[in-house]
Amino acid sequence: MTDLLTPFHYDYMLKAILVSGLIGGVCAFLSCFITLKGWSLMGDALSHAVVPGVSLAWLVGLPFSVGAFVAGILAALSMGWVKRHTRLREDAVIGVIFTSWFALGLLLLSLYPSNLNLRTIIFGNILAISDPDILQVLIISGISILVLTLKWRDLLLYCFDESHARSLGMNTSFLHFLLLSLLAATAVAALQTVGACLVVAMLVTPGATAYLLTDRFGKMLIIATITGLLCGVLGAYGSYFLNGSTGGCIVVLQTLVFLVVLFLAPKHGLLAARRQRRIAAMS
Amino acid sequence: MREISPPLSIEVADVTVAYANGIVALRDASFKLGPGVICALVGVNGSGKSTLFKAIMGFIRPVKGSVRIAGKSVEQARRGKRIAYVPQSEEVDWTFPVNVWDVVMMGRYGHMNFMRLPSATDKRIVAESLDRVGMSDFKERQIGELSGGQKKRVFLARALAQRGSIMLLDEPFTGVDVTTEETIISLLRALRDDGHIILVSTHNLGSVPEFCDHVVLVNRTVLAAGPTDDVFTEKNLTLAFGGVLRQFHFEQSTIQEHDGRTVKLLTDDERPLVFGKDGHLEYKDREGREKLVKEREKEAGK
Amino acid sequence: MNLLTPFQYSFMNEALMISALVGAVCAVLSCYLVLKGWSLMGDAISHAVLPGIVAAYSMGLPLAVGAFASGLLCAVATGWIKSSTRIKEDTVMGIVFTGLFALGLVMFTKIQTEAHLNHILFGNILGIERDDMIQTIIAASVTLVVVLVMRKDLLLFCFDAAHARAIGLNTSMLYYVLLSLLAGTIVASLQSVGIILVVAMLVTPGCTARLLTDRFDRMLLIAVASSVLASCIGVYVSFFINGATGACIVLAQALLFALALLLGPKHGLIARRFRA
Repeated sequence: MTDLLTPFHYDYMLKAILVSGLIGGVCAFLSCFITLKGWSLMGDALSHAVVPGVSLAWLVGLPFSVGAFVAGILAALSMGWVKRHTRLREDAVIGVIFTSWFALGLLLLSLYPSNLNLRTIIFGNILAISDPDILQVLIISGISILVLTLKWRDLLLYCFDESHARSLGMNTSFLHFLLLSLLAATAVAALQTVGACLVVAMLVTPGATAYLLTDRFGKMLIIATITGLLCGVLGAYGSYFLNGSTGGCIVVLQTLVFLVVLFLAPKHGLLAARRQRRIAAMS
Repeated sequence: MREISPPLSIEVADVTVAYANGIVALRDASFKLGPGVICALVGVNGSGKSTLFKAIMGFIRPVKGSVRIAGKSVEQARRGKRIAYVPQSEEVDWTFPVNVWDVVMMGRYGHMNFMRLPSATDKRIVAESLDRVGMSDFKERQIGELSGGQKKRVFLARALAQRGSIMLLDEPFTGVDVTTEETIISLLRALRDDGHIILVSTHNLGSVPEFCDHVVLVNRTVLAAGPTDDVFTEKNLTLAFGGVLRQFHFEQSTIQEHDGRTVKLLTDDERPLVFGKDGHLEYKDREGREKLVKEREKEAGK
Repeated sequence: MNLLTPFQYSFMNEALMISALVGAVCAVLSCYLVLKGWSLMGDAISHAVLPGIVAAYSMGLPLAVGAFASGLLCAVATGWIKSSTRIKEDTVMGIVFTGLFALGLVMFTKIQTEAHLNHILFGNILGIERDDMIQTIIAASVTLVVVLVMRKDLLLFCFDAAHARAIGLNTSMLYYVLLSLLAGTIVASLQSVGIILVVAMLVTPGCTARLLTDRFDRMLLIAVASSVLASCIGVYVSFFINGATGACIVLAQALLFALALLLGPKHGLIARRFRA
């Protein structure tokens, strides 16, 4: 019994568990919008595109999250620009630009090492997170949660029916930009926990899991957030015993939860679908 | 509750719309509608119907000309939540996790506070709107679980809940059962009698004279606009549709006892199935059917 | 040190050759991916190979075999979940590939040293070993030959799968052929750019070529030419600035893309401005 409590004796583990839970929850909240809007590739892209900002911010002496956020937004804007001016498909444009930004980041990191080393940026290293970095994560999460709780209904309408949102006089380009900014901000926050390669999991998996469990968006938000939060906490906690990568553990856990729900969900699960098929075949 | 002055109107004046790639979708389009009217927007696919819709909703800014609603700019009208829009079914993501109630409540968003928390009034209006389209029993359904007609009615209820004075409907009758079509038409009539302006884009020509007071014919510009009886003529339609329209002339009916009055049928999407007297199938051409014609002659002769 | 210094080292010459070969294979495939809208698929499979590599390493199998198997697993699982739920395809892909990548990461920390991980992730073209080189050459040549032999069928499949099916082509076979080619290409690229940047090799040349031509045959040629050129420039420049080679290659690709975007004779921004 005492063994199970050991992680809590370590300050760094406690911090890691709490921060992972927080970030897991925030990302999961946002993931509901990302999955419904079909923005998975965008999430992946922005989480990679923030990397050059980390390096540049270090060179200039700014907090890493400021640089990363700016880099993410610039990448998103340049994607929009190239998309408007070519006949290329959107996914291809995103692919070209985010890999360029990411490569730039890697090059900068190989030339000018920063406080966050390459490994931390790619895979995250929540166990070694410094107090100023925790502060940055707290600020980003706080702002994101505030904005999301205030504006989730507008964002929902924007994702569901953009024309209607516009005809009601809503500023849809603002909502679009708001969603992009939230995406970039949470990608920055999650960078140190799970790393650039796995951020997209935090931004997609909880939302999809919740989507299998409910037909109501409000409930989907709650289920996703709870799933994300619990996976963050338990993943970080479990990584102590597995002695494995924290980010990896969190994401593996999220994927396992998704798989369980995929099979067992009462209405949209695979077993339920099979049952319905069988009933249809018999009648 | 509506603003009293100035009277409701849509005024499209010399509107030219060009897209970023340089293609001109609409040139010098003009028409005017007063309060209490159902107006059909008729034209082939790609004629600029949806461009005109977008211009009226203010989604695209014309490079020339202007759209005024009740004497004000479109932006002002939109801020007043006066324009309600019923989308085509293909534009909606039916797997979205929202139910009927949620969708209709979205019509109230413009009237709600910053947080979009529904008030008792909002809830009452949503319930009323659902009732008017006869969908109250389905309010807990996820939208994907509805039939084509029910889906349409939900979005109509959303437009009702918005309490706009101008309603734009994009192809409201495609994929819809007869009951829903009748519900929609009687609802639109009631709204018209309340003084609303209703603009229906359609290529379902047959339904136009049934319930539309006005017609705007579109083909890259406004070809003709005015009361249905004046505008919805064979000449104008041929102009609007060019060779696209199928024409069926039944001067030469395959039925012999034809009383000499010519029947002409115009349709732009499907070939009509026509039964003549005594339930006989009618054919457009007699050529190749001489045997059939003879048979009918014999029948008529006896 | 002058401009010819890099060519005095045999490792540089080998690196140039291998990266040019890999660049060519990726470029050919990128034309199909760009037209089919499979950029995310390229990204997904490239990440998903990680657990396979780790497993193959610990079992003493060639890494390519493991990578190929787990890349295919990702593709098959994605297709299966997509067809049996209402979740959008991009989301499913995001879930599956991150799940596999995370699994690979957890497995990795258990069994391997950091040096290997870095090589797999970022490539290690300057220190490539004989065995790896042979593996790369085999994977690249097989992929290249298969694509060139089947290029008409694959093109039809990308352009209009329903029509391909109607004329009697086996489209599900073509689907898996394309996926296998993708996995094969990724295996071939492991050594030069690594799995993290391979998606750039699989998207950018096709896009660059698409900006320059409307004909598919020419698109293939241009993509290959631009990719080979970018690979050589990347390797060459990285020697002088002493920076990450894979990143330099990808940035050279991006540079060519930007040039095509600006200067393309028909669709380029300047040409269009000039005409307007």
